[in-house]
Amino acid sequence: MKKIILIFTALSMMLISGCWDMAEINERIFPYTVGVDLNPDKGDKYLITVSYPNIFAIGKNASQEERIYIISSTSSTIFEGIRKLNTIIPYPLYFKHLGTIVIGREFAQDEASMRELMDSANRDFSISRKIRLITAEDLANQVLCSIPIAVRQEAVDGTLFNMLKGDKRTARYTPHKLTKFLQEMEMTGSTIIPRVAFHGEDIKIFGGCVYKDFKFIGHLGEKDNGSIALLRGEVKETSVESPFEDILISYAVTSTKTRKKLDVEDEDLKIKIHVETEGILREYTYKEKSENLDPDTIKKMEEELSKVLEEETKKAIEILQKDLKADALGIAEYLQKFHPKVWKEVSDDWEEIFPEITIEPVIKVKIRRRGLTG
Amino acid sequence: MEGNKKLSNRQIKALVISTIVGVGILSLPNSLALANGNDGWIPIIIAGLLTAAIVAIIGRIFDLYPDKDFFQIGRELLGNWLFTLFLLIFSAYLIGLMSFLSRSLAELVRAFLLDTTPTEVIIITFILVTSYIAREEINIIGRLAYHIYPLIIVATLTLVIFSLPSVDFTNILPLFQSKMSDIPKGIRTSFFSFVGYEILFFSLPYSEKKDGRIRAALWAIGLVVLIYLVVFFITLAQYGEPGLKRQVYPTLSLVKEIDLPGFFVENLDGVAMAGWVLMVFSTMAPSYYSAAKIFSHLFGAKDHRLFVIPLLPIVYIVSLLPQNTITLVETLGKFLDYTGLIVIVLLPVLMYVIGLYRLRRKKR
Amino acid sequence: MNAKLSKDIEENIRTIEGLFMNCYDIVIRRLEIGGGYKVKIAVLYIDGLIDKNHVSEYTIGFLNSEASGSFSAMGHGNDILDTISKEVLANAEIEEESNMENIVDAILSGDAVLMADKADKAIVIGSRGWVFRSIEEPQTEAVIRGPREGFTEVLKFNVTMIRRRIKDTNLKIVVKPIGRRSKTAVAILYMEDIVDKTFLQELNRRLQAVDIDSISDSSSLEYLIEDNYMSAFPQIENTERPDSVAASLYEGRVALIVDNSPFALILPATIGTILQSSEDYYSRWSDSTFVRFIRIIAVGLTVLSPSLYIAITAYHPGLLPAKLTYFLAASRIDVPFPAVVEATLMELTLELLRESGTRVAGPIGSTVGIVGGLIIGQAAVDAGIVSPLMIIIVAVTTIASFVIPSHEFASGLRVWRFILMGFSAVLGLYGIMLAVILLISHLIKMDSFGIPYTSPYSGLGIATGDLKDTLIKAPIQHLRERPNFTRPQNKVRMGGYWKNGRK
Repeated sequence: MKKIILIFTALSMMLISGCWDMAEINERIFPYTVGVDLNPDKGDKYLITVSYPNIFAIGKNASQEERIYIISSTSSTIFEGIRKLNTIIPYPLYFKHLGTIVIGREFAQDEASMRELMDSANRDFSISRKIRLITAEDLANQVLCSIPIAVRQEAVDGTLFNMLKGDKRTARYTPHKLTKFLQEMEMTGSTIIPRVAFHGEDIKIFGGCVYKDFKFIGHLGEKDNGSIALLRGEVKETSVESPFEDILISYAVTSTKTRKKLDVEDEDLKIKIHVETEGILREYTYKEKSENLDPDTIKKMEEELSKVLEEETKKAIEILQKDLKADALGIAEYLQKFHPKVWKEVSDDWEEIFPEITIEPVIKVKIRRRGLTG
Repeated sequence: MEGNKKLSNRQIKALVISTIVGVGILSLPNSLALANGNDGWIPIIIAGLLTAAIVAIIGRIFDLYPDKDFFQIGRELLGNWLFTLFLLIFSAYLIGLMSFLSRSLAELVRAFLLDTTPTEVIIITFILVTSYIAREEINIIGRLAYHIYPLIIVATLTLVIFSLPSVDFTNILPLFQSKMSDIPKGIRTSFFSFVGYEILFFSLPYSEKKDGRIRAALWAIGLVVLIYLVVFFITLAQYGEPGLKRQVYPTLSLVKEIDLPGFFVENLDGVAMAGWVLMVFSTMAPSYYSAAKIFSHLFGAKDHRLFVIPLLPIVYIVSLLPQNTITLVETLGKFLDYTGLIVIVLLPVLMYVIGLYRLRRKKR
Repeated sequence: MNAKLSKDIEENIRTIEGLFMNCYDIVIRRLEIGGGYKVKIAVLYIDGLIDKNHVSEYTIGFLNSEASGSFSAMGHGNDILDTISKEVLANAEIEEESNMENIVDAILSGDAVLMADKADKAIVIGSRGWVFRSIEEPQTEAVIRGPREGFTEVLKFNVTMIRRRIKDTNLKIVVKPIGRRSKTAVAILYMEDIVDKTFLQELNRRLQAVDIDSISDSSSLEYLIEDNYMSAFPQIENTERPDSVAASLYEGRVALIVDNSPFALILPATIGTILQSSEDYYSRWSDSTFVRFIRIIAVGLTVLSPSLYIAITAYHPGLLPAKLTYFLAASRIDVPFPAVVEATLMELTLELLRESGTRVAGPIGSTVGIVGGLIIGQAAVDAGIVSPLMIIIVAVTTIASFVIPSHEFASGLRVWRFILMGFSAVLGLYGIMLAVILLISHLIKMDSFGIPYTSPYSGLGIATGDLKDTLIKAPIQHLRERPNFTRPQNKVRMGGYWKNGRK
């Protein structure tokens, strides 16, 4: 018995003196957005901005008005900046709930910085791999600072994160998680993340920024982004318009299926991207005579829609291929996985070969439903 | 109390599974990807077959000499000096294994759960808690394994099911692209993840039903192979070959990917760590028991309980020797590779061959 | 004191008077019966322990009525005693005894002893009768449907209640006195053709080894014969319900009924059996299965809730979804204590409330509990000392502990709950895991009379068939065999039943 008491006492003394990691939940700060910039002023290399909610303004007993706080500091490495922030805030930062990283435009163009950022994000234990990445028009700091004055905002979870969370809303921008970003970068060398800017009174996320080899190289407009997303099979919901018999019909896509196919003609590679979309006819016209649509009309509509889509996608492909020379469509990945022998031949010269290959979109539109009326 | 030490075959199966599946499950896909790329699953199967062969050999040793335990057979077949030498290496191996486990656990707990708590505290508490059950006999350890091994299976299944929305199975392609000459490297890497079946030395002779016990152990190895394959494929599907080469703990990173909207736990890595602590415990406890048993035999004592507490400071010190996680694998890992080869490969084969030879001679 | 009776009745009476000196309740009723030659008879008993009417009418009455001279013709001493016992006495239960110690024991137990002059034997007349509590519904184990009889403090009646439920000669009832001074009668009940004989031997061995002054309640005996008295968890079940006892006997277990205690002991007990309640068998199977799942969840909740709260808020807020984290943080702004102190305070307060509720009997008791809880909880939250979530957690913990059928098991869990809280306060989730490992190790290594405590989950070569009655509650049609963990000799308990038309 005495032995047990001795062990017990020793253990309790040792442990009670500890509680090393204990920090009350209301004594931590949970940032949900971080912005990284190259410092526009002289001095340290980076400008880090952090945005976090004011817990005093949440909940039933909200005692303060201001819902979001923004703080920033400069530093020579990314995470040192965050440590420096600790000199102005009362509680330690806790990054497990981080939702978004906003990358400043200049920062994005600096390959070394991007690589550094990506490595820390990948390596760090506490940063979730589900964080979204977006690029700012100019300075990320600007974007973050303007959030509190934006007319529509969400304190809990962060405005940006909420906008990026659901991927079903629109194809005008395609949010990507960190994992996807890194994966695509490794496999195909190029990927797209959304663009964010402060427009008028709102934060707007639109279009895409194309990155190649960890460097920002160009923009994609909203429509082009949508087309590329369609080709990648990432579209969950979007709408397409097309002229049909003097009117514009509107068609809402509900699901897509994409497949790539390789045709080798002589020495030239030709990749056909087959896309099949299913959707609903949204807008037609209130006809004078009420009659139900017949299958032929539907078929014609489908053809028109296909044509429109094919044109749009062709345009987007050209931008990617010729202007930006970035394989954001995952062609390289496709070849690696399904045609490894072909890939072995082209991989060394992929930089030169990619702009030369033919990428042909083949889009089939299917109207499945037409709503309540004929 | 000798008569009370009976294990059921089901418990033996559970014991093998829960002892083997421990630390390896976290980093195995990464090492395999580095060695063999997408084809890392091939070494798993081959290593599994090799392990099964050795397990069968161990089983046959006990079949040749029924009613004798490991120590008796060893002394008889190898003679006092040689067997004692083997036992010394065995104990060094087990101490190394326990230190490796404790240290790996401590490092990961520090990373995911407790940043600032001193590593020493984590290691000491872990060893202490394990010592509580290491003082018991093998039948109780068998019960423990029987309770924990469903957790392992459920955890693997859960991981797979929850990861399905975010994985892309095309990442497993292309197959059969790597060089055949790299396969042996992969086998050596994956063999370390099958370590743990040496508990059979101390448990197989106490099975309550002699026939079917080897089959139970083999089933266990099969299940382990299955679990490792599943984990490998699912992490490969998530990260693809290049990603898998980067992630040092792909299984854990996979847990971080899981997105369950609307569920009340968001970052599952804390939960996964908690479950993993149990898995490491189920590897540590039998090893602790075995080490104490060996020491008790070396010192001619009847009860292994005496040696449980003295082992604590030894394991503690050894586990703190490596400087960081990288040297941990380099030094302790290598040490375990070599001693393991001697103890869990060479020893059973030797015993079996000599055992057969002697029996044949007796027959003449 | 192993002396035999002497033939001189006066000497015997003097011996007894000497032993019972200063005991006012000993009564010595002298008689002289017989025709010509009067035989001195004495009836000795303790007033209050016997059924006086019974003795007056059937012993003394009949002795006196045979006042004819037939006696004198019958010889002396032992012969007279024989005649009396065989032909005169109308009592239903009599025995002969010649050992003084046994006679004294008999008197102390409420039997009347009849001695005759010149006889060195005495007749022990079964005449026990005293005030006792009537049969009521057991207070600790009420059911919605099922019998409402509960044991009382009288061994004989308790045993009778079992007898009524098992009309089988295989039901053996062996009575042993335990306790040097209390000589409490302990009845061992078992089904001869079902029970495992080695188990019975072990039990007898342990009972034999008990050498203590007295046993005041079955619990004293329980703690003396169980395997691990140091553990916080019971390894022997106790119940006030005769139907539970009967059911357990059918499963090959052994029951001990202790005189003066309405709580019968059932052994062996494992986690599986402790978490069962008789109500499971009287309700429909779907209901019972659901309730059993809830019980398992309750066990988890009652042990883990406060520690998880501490670990998550103080160490790992990353586990919660972002929204919940912010709201939790917001709700804890004004709370002056760290989560650990908060949790410990509230748990302690609750234990105080609970204990006070038990001490104060009757309606005041339950009111104290409810009102106290409500008021204190509300006041604490309003004062800002405690966060509302903490109140919820504490309430959940307590309610969960009441779901567990065995009060002692829940108390064991309570101890561990505080241990887990301690561990989680220092090492967060890792600490909880360490404590859970300790708890599991502790439960696993316990045996109850040679059977693993964690049966039937322990996989001891035993078919998973046992899970049909512990994890879930299979319909009675599927429970054809007895559970295996008690190693019964006789497996089958049900042959057939009506099956929608065919048998």
